[in-house]
Amino acid sequence: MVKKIKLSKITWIILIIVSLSLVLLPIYVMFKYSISDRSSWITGGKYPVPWFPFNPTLDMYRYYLADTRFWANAFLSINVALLTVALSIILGAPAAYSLSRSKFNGKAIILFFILSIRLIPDISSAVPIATIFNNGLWDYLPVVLKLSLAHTLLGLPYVIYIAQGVFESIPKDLEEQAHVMGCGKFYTFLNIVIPLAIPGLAAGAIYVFLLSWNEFTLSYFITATSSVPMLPLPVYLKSMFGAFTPNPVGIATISLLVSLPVIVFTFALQKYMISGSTAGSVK
Amino acid sequence: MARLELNNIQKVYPNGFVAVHGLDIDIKDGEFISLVGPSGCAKSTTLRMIAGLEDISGGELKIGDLVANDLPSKDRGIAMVFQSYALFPHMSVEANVGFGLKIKKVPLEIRKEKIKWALDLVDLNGLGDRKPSELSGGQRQRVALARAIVLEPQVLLLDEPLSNLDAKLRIKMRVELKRIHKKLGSTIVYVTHDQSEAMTLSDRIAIMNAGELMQIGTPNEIYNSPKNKFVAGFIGSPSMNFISGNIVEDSGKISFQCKQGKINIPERLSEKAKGMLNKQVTLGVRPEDLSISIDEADNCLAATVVVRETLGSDDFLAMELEGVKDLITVRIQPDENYPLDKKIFVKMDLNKIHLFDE
Repeated sequence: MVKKIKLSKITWIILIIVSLSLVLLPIYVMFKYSISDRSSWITGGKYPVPWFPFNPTLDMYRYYLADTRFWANAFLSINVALLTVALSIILGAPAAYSLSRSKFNGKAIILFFILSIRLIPDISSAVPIATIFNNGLWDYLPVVLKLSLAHTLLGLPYVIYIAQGVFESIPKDLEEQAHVMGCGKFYTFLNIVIPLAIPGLAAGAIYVFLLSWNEFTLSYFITATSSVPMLPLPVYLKSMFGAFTPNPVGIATISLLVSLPVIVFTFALQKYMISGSTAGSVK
Repeated sequence: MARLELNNIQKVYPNGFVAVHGLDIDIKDGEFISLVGPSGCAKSTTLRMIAGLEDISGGELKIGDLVANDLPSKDRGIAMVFQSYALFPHMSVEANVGFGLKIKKVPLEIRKEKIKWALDLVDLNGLGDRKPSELSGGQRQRVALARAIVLEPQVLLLDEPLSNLDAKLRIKMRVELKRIHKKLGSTIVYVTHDQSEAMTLSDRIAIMNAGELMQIGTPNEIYNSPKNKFVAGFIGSPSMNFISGNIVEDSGKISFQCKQGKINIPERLSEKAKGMLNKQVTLGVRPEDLSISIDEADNCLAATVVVRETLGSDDFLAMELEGVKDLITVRIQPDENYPLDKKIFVKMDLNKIHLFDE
C-alpha cells in the first residue's frame, strides 16, 4: 500500500516536471539568447549552440534600456493598453449591467451581435477598421487613441460577456434593499454593485490588457498606412525583421522585456480577484 | 409609527395574471400583523407593494395620512428586512446599519449614536467591525433587523425573516422579535408561511390564499372560529381533521351523517346547518377536541389506530375511519393506551366542531 502511494506520487511529480519544462523551455531559450555573447550564437556551424552562453552578458539589456526609441514604443504600448482597459470597462460594465438586469425580448440577439466581431478573424476586420481610422476626421486622432479605440473594439465583447455573468451573480435583493433605503439607481450601481463586481471586472481588465499588449494585426494596419513616429511593441518587434538578418539576441531581449508589464499588471490586479465577494450577503 | 391602510389593493401583471384581488386590510398604529399563506399566495407581492418595490395596479395604499401608491420607497417611511437579509458584503456591520442614515445625510455623530443604539437593541454590541461573512446566520439576521430599526420607520416590513434559521434559533429569534416590537411599539407587517410563527408573534393575522384575503383576526379568533375550510386547515399543528358527509333532518333534529356514524349538530351551529340541509358538507374538528372511547356511544365514529406519535408532552394517534383512506389525528395524554389495529370509537367535543361548505 505504502509503495503504491509512493509510486503514484512519483508519477505525478514526473508529469508536473515534464509539463513545466514544456511551458518554460521557450522562455529559457529566449532568456539564454538574451544574455548570449556573440560567440555563443554565431557558431558558423563549427560547434553546436550551447545550452548556456560561454560568457553571459547583459549588454543587450543595457543597449535597449538606453535606447530612447524602445522606450517611446514601450510607453505607447502601455498607454494604449491602459486606455483600452479603461475604455472597455467604462463602456462595458454599464452595458453588461443593463443586459443582466433588464428583461426584454431579443437580449440573446443583442449579446450575439456584441460578440460577433470576435467571430470573424482579426485580419478580416483589420482592413476596414484601419481604413476608417486613417481617413476623414478619424485621421486627426492621435495614434494612441486610434489604437486604443481599435483595441477596445476587440476587448469590449469580452468585458461585456464576463461582466454580465458577474452582475448576474450579484443578488438582486441587495439592490432592492438599497432602493428601499433611498438610494438612486446610479448610486446603487456605483456603491453596491461595482464593489461586488470588482473581482470579475479585474479578470476582464487583465484579459483586455493582455489582449491590447499582444495585439498585432489591427495595430500593424493602423500604423502601416500612416507615418507614425512610434510603434506599439509587437509591431516594432516585427519591424526588427526588416532589411537586416534578424538578430536573435535583440529579439529575445525585447521579447522578455515585453513580458514584464503583463506580469506586473497581473500581479497588481490579482489581489482584487478574490472569490466569494458576495459571501455573507444573502443566506 | 403609523396606521397602514390597504383599500382594495390589486396587482395585475402585464400578461393579465391577477396576483392580488382587491385586498382590504386596516393595520392599526403599533400593531404587529402577519400575512400568512402557502407559497404563491401573493403575500410577498403584497409586502413588496407596500414597500414600493412593486407597482400597485389598483386600489389605495395609505401610510399614516398619506396616499402612498406612487410615492418612491424612500418617502414612504418604511424599512424592510428581506428573507435573504441582503447585507452588503463589502461593508462592515456598522456601515451596513448606518447605510440608510448616510443616504439620509444624518450627521456622523448622530449616526454613530443611532448605530450603537440599534446594535444594542439586537444584542450585537462589539461586532460592529466585522464583515457579514464573519457572522453566523442568526447574527446576520439581527444585523438586517438593526439596519431596518435604526431608520425608525413608520412601518417595518419583514419578509420571512426567520425562515433561513435553524429551528432552535428561529424560536429564540421569535421571542427576540416580540421583545423588540414591545420596546419600539412600531407597526410591523410580517410575512411568513409558517402558521406557528404567525400565531405566536402577531396581534392579528391575515390569511391569504391565491391573492385573496381569507380571514383576518386575532390568533384566537382565527384558531377558534375559522371562516372557511382553507383557514381551518392552514392554522393549527397538527392540522384540523376534516370528515365529509351530509346534513340530514330527522324528526326535527339536525345531524351530520357520514359513513362511520351520526353526529348531532349543537344549537350553536343549527342555523348554519339548516342552510346546508341535504348538501355535501365537511365537518372539521381539531385533534385536541377529539377523545377515544372503547365502547360505542352517541356522537362517535368508528375507527382504528394506525400509528402512535410520541412527543412527550402530548401524544397523537393517527386513525383510520372505517371505509376511508384519509387519516384523522387525535391528541391523547401520554399515559393513555389504546390497542393498535382494533375497532374503537372517536368521540368529539360538540362545542368545538365546525361545519364548512364542500
